[in-house]
This record gives sequence, structure tokens and C-alpha cells, in this order.
Amino acid sequence: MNPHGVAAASVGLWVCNLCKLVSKSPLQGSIGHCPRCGARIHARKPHAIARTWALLITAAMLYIPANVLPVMETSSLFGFQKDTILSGVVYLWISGSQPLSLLVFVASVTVPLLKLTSLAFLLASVQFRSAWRPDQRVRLYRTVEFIGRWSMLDIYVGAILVALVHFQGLATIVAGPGATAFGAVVVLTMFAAMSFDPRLIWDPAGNIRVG
Amino acid sequence: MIDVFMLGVLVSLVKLSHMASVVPGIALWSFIGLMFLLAAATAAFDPRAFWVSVEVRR
Repeated sequence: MNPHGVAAASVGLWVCNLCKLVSKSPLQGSIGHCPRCGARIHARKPHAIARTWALLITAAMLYIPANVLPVMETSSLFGFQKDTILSGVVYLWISGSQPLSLLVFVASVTVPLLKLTSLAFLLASVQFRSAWRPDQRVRLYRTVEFIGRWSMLDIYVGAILVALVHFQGLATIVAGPGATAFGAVVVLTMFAAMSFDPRLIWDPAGNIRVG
Repeated sequence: MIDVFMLGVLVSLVKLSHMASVVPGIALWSFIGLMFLLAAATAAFDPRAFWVSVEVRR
């Protein structure tokens, strides 16, 4: 027997992702409905690996324009300025708000990179049915899910500044093409983390093959 | 997500203060309070207890 307990799916039980009710799986088919809240349930999320790879690869491709193209275009009396994500961080650092600059750096450079690499690692390990330290890998997945939304920070900053700064003729700020790409990276990696099924990490350890 | 937005507001206030003078109003402090209370409310809510009470009524 598995030292971590019994996997519900191996004894014909499914758990509802929404209300967490454990119920008997339907006799045929791979999709059922939760008897309590009516949400769709399955033993494992359908095509989790393929979907997550697709979202992750798209996000990785968009990561390049997100960092190269300007996210903010400022035109003021003092001239026209294009800011990428990194130049925004540098600007905050030079202008004397080092803690905020560090925060933005972590939220919009480190976190997306970390998410892309760790999700790729998790996917690869699940695909090769690796049984290497599942507890550590689940912890990595939880971290990825938790920190994911913090990358929205730069998008919010852009949205607020674009909306606020409309000093007629004096200064205007417009969102650049990089902002669209960056927003897409954040949203896509969040969807990728959602479509990944952490239960797959445990399956090789209990020698379970589902769906 | 509201906590991320709050930090976004702070960062943009700092960025704006180099262009124009910015005076934070009462709403900003209320918003900070809202952020903490909302986080506390989410942490205190137990969805399982909610479903148990639904099942009792049925």
C-alpha cells in the first residue's frame, strides 16, 4: 500500500474540485457531476498535461515581446519616453524608492520567469512519471499558484497611470504593446497553473494510472 | 487580487509624485482597510461549513 494513504481514484471515488465532496465515480465515462453542487468532476483534469504545455509555451513565446517592447509611453513637456519593464524598475531605483523597485522587479521579472521554469519542470517530471520527491514538487506547485497573481502588479500600475495622467498638453501616458504581451503572459501562466493537475504528481508514487 | 491592486496604487503614486504633487486622500486609507478586512473575511470563511449548512436545510 501507498505510505501516503489511498488515492481516491484508485478505489472508485472522485473528489469535487469545487465543494470538495468525495463521491462514487460513475460506472462509465470519464466525466460526472457532483451530487452536491452539480459541478463537473473527473478523476483527473482532462488533458491536463497537453493543455498546460500549450498555455505554457504560448506564455514563454510572449515573454520575449513583453520584455523587449515598451510597456508605457510617457509624453510630457520634458520629452517623450518609452519604458520597458526593466527600465521602469531602474527608474524607480534611481529615483530613490529602492524597496518599491525591488518589489516591482520581483513581481514582474522574477515571478514570471520562476513560473515558466517551475511549471515546465513539473510538467516534464509528470510526463516522465517521475517519482522523485513528490512532496517537494507539490510544494513548488502551491508556490507557483500562490505567487502567480502578483505579476499583475505592473499591469495595474500601467492601468492606473494611463487613466490618471491626462494633463492636457502637459503630459499623457499611453500603454505600449509590451503591456499587452506582458498581461497575456501573466494570464496565460495563471491558466496554465490552473489547468495543471497536482494529483498527477502523486500518481507515479502510488503506481496509479488514471484517465 | 485586491492586495496586488493596492501595491499597484502605491507604485503608481510614487511614479506620479515625480511628475506632479500627489496628496493621498481618505479613500486610500479606507482602501487599505478594505484590503486587510477582505483578506481576513476570505480566510475566516469555511466553504465546507457552508455546504454542511446547505445539506442540513435540504
